Amino acid sequence: MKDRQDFPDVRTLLAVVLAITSLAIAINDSRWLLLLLAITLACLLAAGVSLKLLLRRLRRYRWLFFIIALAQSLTNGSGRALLAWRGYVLLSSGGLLGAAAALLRIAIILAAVGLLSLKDYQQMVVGLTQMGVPYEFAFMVLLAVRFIPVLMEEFRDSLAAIELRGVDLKAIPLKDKLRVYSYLLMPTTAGALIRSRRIAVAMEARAFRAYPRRTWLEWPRLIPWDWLIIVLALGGTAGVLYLKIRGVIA
Amino acid sequence: MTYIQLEQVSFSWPRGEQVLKDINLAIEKHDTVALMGPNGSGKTTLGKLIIGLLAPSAGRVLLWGEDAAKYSLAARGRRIGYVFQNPERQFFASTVSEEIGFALKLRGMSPEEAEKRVGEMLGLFELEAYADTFPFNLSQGEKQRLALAAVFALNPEFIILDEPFSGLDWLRKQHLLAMLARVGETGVGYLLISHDEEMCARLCSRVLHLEGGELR
Ligand SMILES: Nc1ncnc2c1ncn2[C@@H]1O[C@H](COP(=O)(O)OP(=O)(O)O)[C@@H](O)[C@H]1O
Ligand SMILES: [Mg+2]
Repeated sequence: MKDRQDFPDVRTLLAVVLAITSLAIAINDSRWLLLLLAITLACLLAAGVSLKLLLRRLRRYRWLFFIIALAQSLTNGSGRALLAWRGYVLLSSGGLLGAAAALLRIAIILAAVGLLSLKDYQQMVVGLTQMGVPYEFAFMVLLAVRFIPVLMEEFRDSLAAIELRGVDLKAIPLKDKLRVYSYLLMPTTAGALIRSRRIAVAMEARAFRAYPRRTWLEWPRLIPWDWLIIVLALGGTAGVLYLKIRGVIA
Repeated sequence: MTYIQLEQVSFSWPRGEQVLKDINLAIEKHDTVALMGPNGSGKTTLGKLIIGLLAPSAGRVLLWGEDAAKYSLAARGRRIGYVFQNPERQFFASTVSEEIGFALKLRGMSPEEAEKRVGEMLGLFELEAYADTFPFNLSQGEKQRLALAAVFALNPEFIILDEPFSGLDWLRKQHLLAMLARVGETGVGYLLISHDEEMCARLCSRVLHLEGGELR
């Protein structure tokens, strides 16, 4: 077991992500959200996360952004009406501000989660274990999260493969359609089962759970900077939340 | 009318790497064409562009003399068979016979007719012993044969095969070679994607080389 200092620690990053996301959810005022976004980006830069990569990831969620902004501006009719049709307010100043706040909020959360990209999967498992999460549980959760996109891609491939056999999914009766979807579950499930069997074999080959206690190659320790950041992040968040409850900020 | 035609086709992944540059290609219905090239040269990509699993970034794919963009995957699949590089990708059913037969039934063939066709395919591709086996439990060679049988059962006019010889030992390769030769004799053309020089030379009348995104 090697004692290694690896600043910032996983626990520090998790504390910062927790602080930023709870602030992003709690705050409604666009100006404060803007400030929070600036702080988040500063954290990312300071930690050395590539903003280019982050932007690329945000781009993947552009439809989500668009739909949320649209829903916000259509449903929130407060403030001055900017666009109306037959007496319905389609776009209002309140709606526009609401949409801006919603967009800022998602951008902040996605950017904050980007901080975790600094750590690999193994480091995350160790970090969670150090926080008292049972090891097997931490391992399984991270494994599952990592495989969701793979499963979705397999499902899409299978759908295409069925159509390539000349089956027009739009044209067949409902009864057959249900049968096709039950067919589609087969390769996806079988793929998942085969993959998990492979992983289980690989883990056992590496003596996973062969002994009641695990020995870690690296067991990172918190350095004073970690403690400082954790205290600042959690303390700052508590302070802002207090101000919000007292009604000082919106 | 050219059966498959590519006009100035280019393809790049969304992140920007260009895989294919200005490809021009014409394939006739009865052609037996080999597509060779190093790993990652874009062979699979070219096959997927033809069958419609990917769309060109520039240029056009024409099928049967018309812009292929107007055909659905199902419409293309009714005339052109496509065998995936990883055959598991195309298995759905819980038994080998069902795997061969289900698309026939979904396409309106009567159960008796479908059963007869399944029987023929099991014989042609030497899978009788595995009629009730779960496809995922077959060996690599058997999986390749099943993938081919399932596609061939649909009576395609043309077949695209993506690396059907990979992972097969010499004997299994010879078997598959014999089966593909039989397919060719029935007048069905194919595009064979493979690294295997010997197989390409024996099975195909025309060999294409893909390198650096261009055809030679
Ligand atoms: N889904 C994908 N996203 C991005 N790049 C890909 C994807 N699939 C393949 N590639 C890349 O495209 C190139 C061509 O791949 P491919 O057509 O599979 O090559 P081949 O079949 O000749 O081995 C490779 O560099 C490969 O890394
Ligand atoms: Mg390939």
